[in-house]
This record gives sequence, structure tokens and C-alpha cells, in this order.
Amino acid sequence: MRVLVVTSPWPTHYFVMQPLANAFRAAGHDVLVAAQSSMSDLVTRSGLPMVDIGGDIDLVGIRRRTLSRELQAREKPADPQDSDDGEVFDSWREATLSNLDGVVNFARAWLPDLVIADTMSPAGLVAAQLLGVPGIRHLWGWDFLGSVEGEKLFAALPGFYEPYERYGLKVTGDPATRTVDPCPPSMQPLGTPSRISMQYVPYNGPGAVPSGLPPRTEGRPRICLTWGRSITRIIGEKAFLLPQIIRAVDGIDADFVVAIDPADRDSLGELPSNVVALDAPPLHLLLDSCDAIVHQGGSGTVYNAIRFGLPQLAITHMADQDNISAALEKSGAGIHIRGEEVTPEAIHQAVTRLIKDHEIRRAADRLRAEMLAQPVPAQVVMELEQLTAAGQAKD
Amino acid sequence: MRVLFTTFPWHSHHFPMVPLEQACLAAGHDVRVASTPALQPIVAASGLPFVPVGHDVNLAALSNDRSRAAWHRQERWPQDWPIHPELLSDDHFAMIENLGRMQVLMADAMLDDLLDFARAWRPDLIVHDAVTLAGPVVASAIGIPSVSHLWGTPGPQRIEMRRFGSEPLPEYAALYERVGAPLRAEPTAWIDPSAPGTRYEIGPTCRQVRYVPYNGPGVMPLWPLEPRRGTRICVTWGGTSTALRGDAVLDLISQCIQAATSIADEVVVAVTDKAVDGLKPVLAHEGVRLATNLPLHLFMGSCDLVVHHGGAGTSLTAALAGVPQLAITARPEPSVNGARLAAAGVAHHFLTHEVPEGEEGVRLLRSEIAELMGFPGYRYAAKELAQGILTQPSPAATVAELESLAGSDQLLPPAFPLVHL
Repeated sequence: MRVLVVTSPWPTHYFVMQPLANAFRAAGHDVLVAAQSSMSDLVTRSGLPMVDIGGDIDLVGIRRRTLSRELQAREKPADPQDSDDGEVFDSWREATLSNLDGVVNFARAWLPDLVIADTMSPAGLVAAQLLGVPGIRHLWGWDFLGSVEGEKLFAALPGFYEPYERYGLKVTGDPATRTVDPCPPSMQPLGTPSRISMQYVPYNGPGAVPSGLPPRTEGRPRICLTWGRSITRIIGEKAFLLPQIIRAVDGIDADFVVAIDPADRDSLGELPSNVVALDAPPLHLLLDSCDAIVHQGGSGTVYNAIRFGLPQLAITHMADQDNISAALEKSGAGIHIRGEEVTPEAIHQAVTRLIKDHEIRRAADRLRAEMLAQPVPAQVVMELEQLTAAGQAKD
Repeated sequence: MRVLFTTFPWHSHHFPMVPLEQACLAAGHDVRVASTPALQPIVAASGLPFVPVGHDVNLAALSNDRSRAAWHRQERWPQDWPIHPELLSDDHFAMIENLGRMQVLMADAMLDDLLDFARAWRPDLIVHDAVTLAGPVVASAIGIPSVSHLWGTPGPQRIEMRRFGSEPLPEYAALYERVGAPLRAEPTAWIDPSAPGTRYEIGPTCRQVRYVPYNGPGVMPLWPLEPRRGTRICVTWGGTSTALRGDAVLDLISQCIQAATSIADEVVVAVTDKAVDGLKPVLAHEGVRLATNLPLHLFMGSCDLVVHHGGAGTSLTAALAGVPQLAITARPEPSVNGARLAAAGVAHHFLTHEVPEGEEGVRLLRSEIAELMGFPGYRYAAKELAQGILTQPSPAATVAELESLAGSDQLLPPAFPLVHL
């Protein structure tokens, strides 16, 4: 069958979706990833063909504009009726509407049997409804829409149904047929029955196993330090905490590996003898030789670390990072510190706990076991094949 | 499960393994793809994790050295030679064994690093391209199963064995001696993505897999979905042919384009960037659409006929799309593809030197194309061939076979059921 995978222009969202798209390909289906042209290098170099659906959404720019509101919103639950929060939702509308026609027009020409759409790409669900085929929402992290509480939000969110109304569709409730969720279920709010749990399989972009990694010293822990780029592009350099983290872990008896974009390498300055910087290899190719990780709380990074059973320290700046990292801390497998509260002492203590505290390690093992017990993408493909076939049989 | 895939550094031997690699990842397994550094851009662009091993060897130069040059200009070999070695002469085998020794040189360049990586990473299974000989040597050295993955041309291609038999070339056997591993004359299993209806039976250890096209990265254009303004022919020449034979193929491609434009309303020319320069005069012809760096499977289904060089990837992509083919081949291996497609009734097959130069050749090609386009039997046969491919187990389904192979060494079932009498 034909499967159209609609991704938003957030690279990390696409990385979390790629394994399911890949699994459809492996099952012999025709797969196309619909994305805007800024994503073409990232998508075509992931083993899947892309179709350019136009639009030129600058998600980073949009979030920069709404940053102060978003940061205020971290202090209290979002309320769409509140005019300040409304501005944030307006930006969400702007981000999701601009490629609506492009996705719909292509879908009408290609006629997919199934559409999978990132949460930030409701255009995919609009296309699915217009064609009368299943439309699947794919989550990239902590979920509010697919949760029992979240269902109440649909009607309240200004503009949530607007993409559907533009095409004359009357939708109530959740416009997605199912929601695929790669998060371990114990970390998510209680889901609706339409949620399909899927094991997170790492995809972190193309690349090779890291070279220049010194051999491990027996009995000496190795800790990965990494920092996502989106967060500094939105908030600015003050949110780039790697230099402070490296100073704060001074004196800890461990080896540190910094996975860093070559462009940022100079910002780290001179490194202590127990710290090595690597030109950002795909994260999972590095984590299989690490014992713990410190990061910015992006859900993709959190999932990667869970997969390898690593205790984690997440230092967060934005609401979606807060949510997934708070859930991680609640599981016992990690420590969550908010960016504005972080101090060198707090980092030092937290990293020491990551390697000394057996409770954290046991919780990380449990969380890993929970992840590995989730159905793999290949099994989710079979479930969605059946769902699609059942829909076609009804017609 | 950890699965180590390996191929010598040639894109058309990596591409056929990509779907199975993707399938292993989709089943939650850990995958690495090892080759020499030259293949890194190709593997990385396919989204798979790369392991550089050994050093590069100039294969194009090796392939054109005097002793091997004859491989590129051969008369027709006996019918079904891949499974009837008794029909081949000493000269044929001299050429085949030359290729085998070339692959031994390649394996020699990969072996030490591949073995080091395998010892550190501890894969449960090695899947290797069928002529990538470092694969079985390393699998034997660390005592794990090895699976030989064919690239789509029918037949087992045992170029490392004397006269396709059970005795290895001495140079191949020496690789095992070098690392102190027992000789592995047979892979644990084969994987064959060729099309039923064209393939040769390989034996009980062979797992047939559905061909899923991976033809490199690309962006889908919109024109294949738009209504056509008449008939459409694709003329394509693979990267391997163009790289190995250079300008020698440009005249032939030009002839094909001229013949195709005289019959079809539209001719899609899919060639490498390098070939475009040499084809400028014919590309200016009305009705020609240039498609460089475009994966063939993204538009193949919109064509009525494809004219090509007999590469396995092109042949299978066209077969899956149900499109009749005209294959014009040079080397004996692509010639097998052409001959088998012709035998299945979906293609006409010529050797390059059977096409006369200049206008006479264009006339011949034009009449061949006219027949393939005009007689509906080719299209029916092509649809049947495509249906046959779709009946094969998908790469996703084949992963279960790999899982059981990987487990079979640790957990041997009792030879007989234990029954208390």
C-alpha cells in the first residue's frame, strides 16, 4: 500500500518518526515523506524518498517570537482561553497551516492508503479525512493531545479544527484515527484507547560509528554530555550550558565524552584531560559505550538514553522538555533540573548520583525493560495494515 | 540481535541490502554496515550506521587491467551458465577466477579491521554481499553464522570457488589461514532478491526475499503523477556501467535516446551527472526529460518501456513496476539479467556489440522498441513478473529467518524428539 508520512520541519520530530516510516518500507510498502524543502537533505539521507510539499515554516523563528509567553506558561498549566496563551496557540496555527494545501494537493494526486502525521502537521490528518483513509498521529514526546485530559482540549483550542473547516470537514473529538506513541507508557499521562504503544528505535541521522573514542578504562564510568541545537537557536547562547557543565563536573572520577557539532567545538575552550569532544556522531552509536548522560531534555535524547538503560540528568528550558524530563525523574531513572535553577554544585551532585546511586541505575534498567517490551515498529506496521484493510473492506 | 552487514565499496552492492537492513532496525535489532571508507557517503545517505574498515582499493582500475578488460567485451556465454558450469570453457573460468582474485584483494584490504570490529561489537550474525569475501572469513573466525546476500542477478556467483565447485581458490583459502579460521565453503544461508520467473534455484539454504527498491536518495517529482501526453520510454544507464566503461557507452546511450524519441512522445533519460555532458546533443531533442539523481522507482511505473544496461537494480525496479524492458549489456553478469528477462517474455536482450554503430544501430533499436511497445504480450508478462515479486516474503518477514539462524548456534534443538517409551 501507499503510506504518506507528513513531518513538521523539526528535525528531532522527524528522527522519532523515521523508524516507523522505515518499517513500512521494510514491509514492502511504498513510502513517501512529505516535508518542506528545508528538510530535504535530512529526509533523503534517511533512506526514504521525500516529496516537497512547499511551505516555508520557520519554527525556530515562530518560537522565538512567542518565547516570553511560552516561558511564562511554564509556570502554570496552559489555558487556551487566556489571551497570553492564545498567542502561543496562534503561532501553532501559523506553523501548521502554511503547508496545508501542499499536503492536501499531493495526497489527492498520489492517493495514499494511510497517512502518518507528526503532531505539528495536522495537514496530514486533513488529507486522510478528505481521502477517507486512516490518519495516524505520531508523537515525538510527552503527550497532551492523546491523553484523556487532552481530549477536552480539542474543542477549547482556538483554531484546532480550522484546517479541517477550511476543507469543509466537520470534525468533533480527535481527528486522528490512532496515535502512535514511542514513549514508555509509564511516563505518559493516561492515554485514550486509540493510542498505539510502539518501542522507540533509535534514529539520529546518518553517520558512522565515532572515531577518536579512547578505549574504556576498566571500572571507570564514561558519561556522555550532549546539548541539542534547537534550544540555543530559540533562546540564545545563554541556554548553551555545555561549558558550565564541563566546569561543574571537574573533580568527578569519570571520563566524559562531549558529542558536539563541529561548529560549536571552539566554544568549549581547553578541555580537562578526562574530557574528550567528538564531532556529533549519531547519538545511539556513542551511547552503547556510555554509563550515564547529561542533556537538554529533548524527548529524542531521553528515549535514546532509556534504550541504553542510562541514568540521565536533564537540564531544561522549555515546556516540552520540562514535561518529558519531569516524567523521567518521576520514573526514578533520571534527575531533572530546570535551567533557571541550575548551579554548578547541583550539576556536580547530580552527576555524582548518576554514577553512584544504585536506585537510579535500577530504575533505568526497569525503564529500559519497559521500552524493550513495547511492540517494535514492524509489529505496529502489521497493526496499521490491518486497520487500513478493515477500513477498505467497509467501503 | 546484533547484525553486521558488509559489502565491498560499490553502491549497487549496498543498495540491494538496504531493505533488509531497514527491516532489522524496524524489528528492534542493532545494525552496522561495514565497508571501506569510500562507501561512507553512500551508506550514510541511506540512513544506516556506517563502520569504516580497511582501506580503499581502486576497483575501476583493477576491473580494467589488461587481464580483466576482456570481461567487458564478451560474446554470448552459454545459456544458463550460472547453473551449468560444465558449459563454460577454460577461458571463461580464467575470467571468472580473475574476478574472484580481485575480490580476494578487496577482502584482504578489509579483513583485519572487520575482524577487530566484529570481536569488539560481537554480532550474532554477519550478512555479506555475495562476493564480499571478508564477510564469511570473519564469521568463521568468530564462530557465527554468515548469510550471503545476492544483489539481484540470478545465480549464486561463486567467483571465489574453482570452476564454481567446492574447491576454493588458493588465494581465498589463504585469507582463512591468515586469521586462523576454518574454511567456510558454504554460507549458513543465502538471501536472494531476484524475481521468481527469472531466478535460478540455489538450494534448500536459500531464502527468497521480495525485491524492495532502494535506488539512492531523492526527492519525488510531481510529473510522474500528472496525466501523460502520450507514450513514455525511460532510457537509463547505471552508475557502474558508466564508471567502468566511461565514454564507450555514451554513443550507445545516444543511439537509444534517438531511437526512443522517434517512437515515444516522451523519453525520460536517467543517467549520471557525468554522462549528461557527453549526451548534450541528443538531450536537446524535443520530448526528452532529463532525470539525474532521481531514484528509478519513483517514476518507473509511469513508463511504457525501459531501455537499460542490464544492471540488477534497474532490471528489478522495472520488473516490480511491471514495465517491459530492452536490455543491452556488455559484461557477462548483467547479460544474465538480460537473458533471463528475455526468457520470461518481458524483454529483448542484446549485447552491446550486436548493436551496429550509427544510424544502422538506431534503426535496429527503433524496430525493437516498436515491437516491445506494440505487442501487448510483453506488458502482460511484465505484470505477471511483478505479481510474482509481490508474492515473495518481505524483508520484514525475512528478519524472522535471520533471528532463527542467529539463535540456532546457541540453542540447537534435539535431533529427535525425546519420547519416553
